[in-house]
Amino acid sequence: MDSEFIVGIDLGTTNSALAYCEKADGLESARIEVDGIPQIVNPNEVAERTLLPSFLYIPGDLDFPKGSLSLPWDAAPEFVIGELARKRGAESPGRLVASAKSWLSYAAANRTAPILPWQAPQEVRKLSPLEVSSRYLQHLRTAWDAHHGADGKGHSLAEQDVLLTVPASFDEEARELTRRAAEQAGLQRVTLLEEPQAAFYAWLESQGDAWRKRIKVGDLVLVCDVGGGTTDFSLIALSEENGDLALKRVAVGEHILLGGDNMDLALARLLQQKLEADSHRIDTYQLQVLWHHCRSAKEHLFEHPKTQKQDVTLLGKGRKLVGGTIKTELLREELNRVLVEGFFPKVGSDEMPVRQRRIGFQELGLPYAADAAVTRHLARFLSQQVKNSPEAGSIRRGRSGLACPTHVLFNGGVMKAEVLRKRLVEVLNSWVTDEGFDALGAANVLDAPDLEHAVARGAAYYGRARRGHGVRIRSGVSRTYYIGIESAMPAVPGMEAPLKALCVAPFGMEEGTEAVVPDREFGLVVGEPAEFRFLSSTIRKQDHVGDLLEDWGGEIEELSPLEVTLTLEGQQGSVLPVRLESRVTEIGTLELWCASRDGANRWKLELNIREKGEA
Amino acid sequence: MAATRVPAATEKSGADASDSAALDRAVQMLALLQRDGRLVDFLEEDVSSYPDGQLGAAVRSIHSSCRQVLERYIKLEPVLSSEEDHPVTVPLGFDPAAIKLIGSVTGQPPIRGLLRHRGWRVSQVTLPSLPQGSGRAIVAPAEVEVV
Repeated sequence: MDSEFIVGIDLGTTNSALAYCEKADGLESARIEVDGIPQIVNPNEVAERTLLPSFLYIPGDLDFPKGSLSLPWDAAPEFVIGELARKRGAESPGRLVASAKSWLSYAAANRTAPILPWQAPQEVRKLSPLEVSSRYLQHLRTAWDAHHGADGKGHSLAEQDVLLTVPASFDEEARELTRRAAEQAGLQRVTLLEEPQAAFYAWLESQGDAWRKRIKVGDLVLVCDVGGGTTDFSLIALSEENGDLALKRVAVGEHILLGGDNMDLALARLLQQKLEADSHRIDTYQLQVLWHHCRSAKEHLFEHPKTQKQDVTLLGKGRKLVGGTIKTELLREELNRVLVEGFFPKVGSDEMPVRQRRIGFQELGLPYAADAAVTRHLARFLSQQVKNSPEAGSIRRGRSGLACPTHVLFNGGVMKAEVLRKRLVEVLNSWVTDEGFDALGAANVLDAPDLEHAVARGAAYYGRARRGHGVRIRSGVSRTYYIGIESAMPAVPGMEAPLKALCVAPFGMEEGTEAVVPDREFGLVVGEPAEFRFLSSTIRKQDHVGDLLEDWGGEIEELSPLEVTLTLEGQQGSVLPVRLESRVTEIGTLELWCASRDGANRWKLELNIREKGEA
Repeated sequence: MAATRVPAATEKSGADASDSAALDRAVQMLALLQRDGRLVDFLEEDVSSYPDGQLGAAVRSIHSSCRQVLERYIKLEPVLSSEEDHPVTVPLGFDPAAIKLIGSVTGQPPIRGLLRHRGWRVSQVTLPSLPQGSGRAIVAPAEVEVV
């Protein structure tokens, strides 16, 4: 039995999100909602947010007043998950688990052993990356059940179709661990979906019907996902399977530990230097605050391209709030230098990420990227990593072997900044044109709105699609069409014979397909002028070809009639028995073919059904 | 109204309990403005010796964060929403607690006048739960860094 809801879950490195839609009519009208996730945001304060920060804090006896961590479903939770965990973790880092997802994919770590928080003091309880991931899912599940009801009506999350996303770069073990984490959280009906594909489906959803004009079978989409802590590249090829759009991930890069947090930290370090040059001392806590202010200043400057600088004020500590206030500013020139040039420099397609000369002893921990240039990582992906892909033969490549996509899809919070998107496309185009292909124009850049929730939304959309007819390559008619049939009834003076409506083209019937009205014959008036009445409905979406309706209330509306004389030699004003067949053409017309019983004659009625505004 | 000391964590009954709860909410409001906006630190500091520029920079920051506190926990709206210095009509049966008349305060409503201050009214209160016990007297906890 199909579940009541279809749920997409993005278990992100920095933030997790959940989106859902209800089972109902057609894919094109799927309304996907992002669920609010209640979480503890301050002691004694629970609030809903659309994102659940992927942070877990392990409180000790000394951390919080008793009873201040209660959630609606748990008066004394053992761990703090979400916004307060993140906040408190900034004050007390030894008890914070962050980036559990990156640990889950790190093959050199023992992912099922209790190793997190990494290098925490002895007395702090530890959990495995598997268990942490499971607890995030458990939080989402309990929050869902509290909201939608686990009351036996089939609404609990465990009973829904859940699409859970994973990075394309996750190896088989990381995927298996993700499934186990879901099972341990009580979710059995889980399907894994790769994040770049989910991002693509989110873009499809945002386009409505117009996506078919932007991409076609054979295109190659570079998905460029730069989030808070990670960067992931993949290539998706678009193909067709039985008329359904099929996405095939043909190449994937490494899970690169480089992201928006690095960028904000780089800005904070810059401002720290400026302040220290003015003889101000900045300690670790003030650096945290500076980091936070830099993020806001950066976003402000990205959103207001004409502003040249943004003030950054650090209030004094303790009682000398005003007395200790120090001020500096972030200049646009600095923003561009540090972020655009530092993280997205213009490089050749043969420039590989630098590996710094290694110091003999290394701290054990996550393998953070040594080179901060996203564009160099991209160059490496398109030149080298693509070569190792099993699909390498089918990827469009240039003279030097560089993979050359036809489109770019951006994902992740960092790519909200237009100046960074533009720079990346500029660099990519310099490579693509060198290889002999056309540059990507604005139409080739696929922008989904709502980058923070896109993966969750896309997952829900995909779940809906695969339940129905998939995402059809060709469009379907957006109404149900009928032809008016005059009833065979005794004449009543002053009253028209009642009209029946025969469904000839059901809702969603695809362009380029045909349908035969089964079993019945109808009388076709030939040899004299007759009115052919067409009707349509946007409400009745379940009618099948051949359904003959007598009563339809206001649900069907009549279109302008066709007045025409169909001719047959030797016939004047006769009624001939015919069979009916409809055809929806690729140029947006509905053809109604009438075939005589002996098959010798056929007549065609044609109706233009393309909606205004379509090509 | 006589000044009352905020009681420590004790059980109160009936009318006493609701006075106590009201005081606790007042403390909570200050605590929120301090936690997210550092308003109490600001008001308790002696700013007489600081140059305007420094004071101004600090004020901008505090202003921005305290505004967010109001937005999140106690939404306000004007009592009368016309433009200031524009004519308004004070209707029959108006609430003197909500509208104060100044100038030539004579005649019977409806009264025509010029709006000099729009007033403030609470439109939505969404406060978190109160802390338990002794937490109710705390506007901001002391901070001790363990090295």
